[in-house]
Amino acid sequence: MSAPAAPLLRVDDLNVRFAARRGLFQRGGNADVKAVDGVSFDVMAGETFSVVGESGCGKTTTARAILGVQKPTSGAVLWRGRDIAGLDAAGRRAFRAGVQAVFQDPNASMNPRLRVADFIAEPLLLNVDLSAAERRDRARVALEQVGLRADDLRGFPHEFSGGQRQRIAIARAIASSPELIVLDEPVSSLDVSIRAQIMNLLKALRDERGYSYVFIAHHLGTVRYMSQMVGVMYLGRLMELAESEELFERPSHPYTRALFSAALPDHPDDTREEVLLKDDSVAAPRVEQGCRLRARCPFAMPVCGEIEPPWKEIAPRHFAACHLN
Amino acid sequence: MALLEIDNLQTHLTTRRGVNRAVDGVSFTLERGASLGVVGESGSGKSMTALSIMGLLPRPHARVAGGDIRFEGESLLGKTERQMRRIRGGEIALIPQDPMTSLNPVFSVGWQVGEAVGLHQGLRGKARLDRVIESLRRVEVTAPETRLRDYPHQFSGGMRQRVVGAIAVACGPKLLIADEATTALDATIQARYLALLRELRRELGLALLFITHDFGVVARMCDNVVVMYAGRVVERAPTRAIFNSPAHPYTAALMRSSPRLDRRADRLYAIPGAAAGGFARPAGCSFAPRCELAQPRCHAEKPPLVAIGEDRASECWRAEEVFQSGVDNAARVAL
Repeated sequence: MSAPAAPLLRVDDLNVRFAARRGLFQRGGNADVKAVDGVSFDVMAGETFSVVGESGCGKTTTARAILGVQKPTSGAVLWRGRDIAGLDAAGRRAFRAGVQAVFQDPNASMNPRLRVADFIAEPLLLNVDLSAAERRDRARVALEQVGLRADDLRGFPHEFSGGQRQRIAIARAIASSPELIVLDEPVSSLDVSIRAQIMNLLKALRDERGYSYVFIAHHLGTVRYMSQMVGVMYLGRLMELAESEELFERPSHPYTRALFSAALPDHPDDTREEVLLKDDSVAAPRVEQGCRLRARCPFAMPVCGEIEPPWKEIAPRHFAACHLN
Repeated sequence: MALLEIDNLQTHLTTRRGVNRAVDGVSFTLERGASLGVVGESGSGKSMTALSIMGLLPRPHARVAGGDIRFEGESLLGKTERQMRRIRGGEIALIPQDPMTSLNPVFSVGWQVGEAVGLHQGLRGKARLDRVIESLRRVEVTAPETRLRDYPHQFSGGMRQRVVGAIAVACGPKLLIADEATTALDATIQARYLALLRELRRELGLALLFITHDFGVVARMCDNVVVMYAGRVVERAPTRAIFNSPAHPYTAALMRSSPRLDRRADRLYAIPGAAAGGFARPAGCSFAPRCELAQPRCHAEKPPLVAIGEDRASECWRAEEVFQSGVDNAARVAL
């Protein structure tokens, strides 16, 4: 990479496996599901790094590992160069204040019996130096920053609309002045007319306060609008990684191209390259050798069944894992 | 005669807070074999419209309070439950968003497709089995002869939705209503499912009614579109025409606020505020509080339905201006 600056967050050869128990009478022993399989990327300060992919690709598990709530099987998540698994108590406190999260469904992430003020101020309890009054004050400032009023602090979640609740979730995330916010599908449960409000708010906060985002999403237009860097995942592995505009203008990997070609058109006259994957029922989730896309890939060659494609830089800051390159 | 005519439909929900006019005077028609998109956000009344057509409104809270729904010229509102059961599945089929709401987890997939063809077409034994296999094959379920013994949990989300599609088309309906049928599917699976529905429409001459929040689905699937807001149709138009120049400020705003895949916007337009529910009955236009073009008249008086050319209409005091500015924009881009 050309940027000499140290990354804020480094995901280094991350592997997360889940034990998959076979049924009592099934043969063949237990096989692990490789939810995340050797994923590496850097997130720089002030940058939005997006992870796209379909369900089961491991993007949410990656996000959970970054937040420290999913223990890696091997590999590491490095925060400012230090493995978050090896942090001491003080380091862990700083990490938890510095990394916050906003999830897809604000209804599921909010405690219905907690007032907005307490919900927003909860992460501030980590900072033992703050008095109750100071916490409340910070909650008010955060709430005003996301476009709600100080009066709303006394409300309960059910008094707010979906868009307002997502604003409250963002207020909680920014109240502890974090450096990185993990956004897991933050707008996909919202109505179309509300999505743009929330995306613009997130962009404005990033520009004003210099936050970094790890943005997990499946809607490609949204990803293009929000991101500087984009990684494409399939069955636990990064398939392609590039600067956002480079990726959207010159997608290289067959999976990326299939994903783009499957996206709904912006206009009835849109014509896109058509790359159709074969049926998903033929996909083998536990690939022992070769490329994991090969059974569905329209360009598969004999070598794809034998050797896992290497991770190659095919253009400056543009990486892909495919034998076609 | 149109296949389906919705005429000034009023569907009311009685709640503790009073009457919610979920559908408040909706009219549209769908021709045989045609494809119509009904676009709206949550609370726009689009799903209540679909449930009204199917006669599946949640009783006793919801009821059709006025207007008419005609299928092949006959009103569906006067039908008995027995008659409606014959029409549902036989003439009009529904694919809902979540396939597990319509599949029974304790019966095999083959049994469930077979139940539909048994009830509506009286097929038994070998004839029924053949029809089941044929239906599953038509929706591209691989190896239908063996898979029909599997249960819904043994299918992926996309495959389950195909099974629902197989049940829907097994009895040869004339109208298929897809209520956010592909919203929960992954992009590549959604693309295949939409291609399949297009195929079914062509092969079987099905008319499709797409209930969706996504203009992308409309762009890919529909000849015509109606846009709903707060229980009313605010704009109706042929699909290409509405994309080229929307004639209602709400349609225009929705399009401007959606991020596109083919180019990066510096900043998206964000529609301010949130949609009002069906409890409030504003004197003027329901969208006026969020509309950047609103004038005093918009808040005071209901806008008329303004015809734009022969096949379009927009319920807005400034419809002609909005339409024209879209045309001007398109011309500028073309230059």
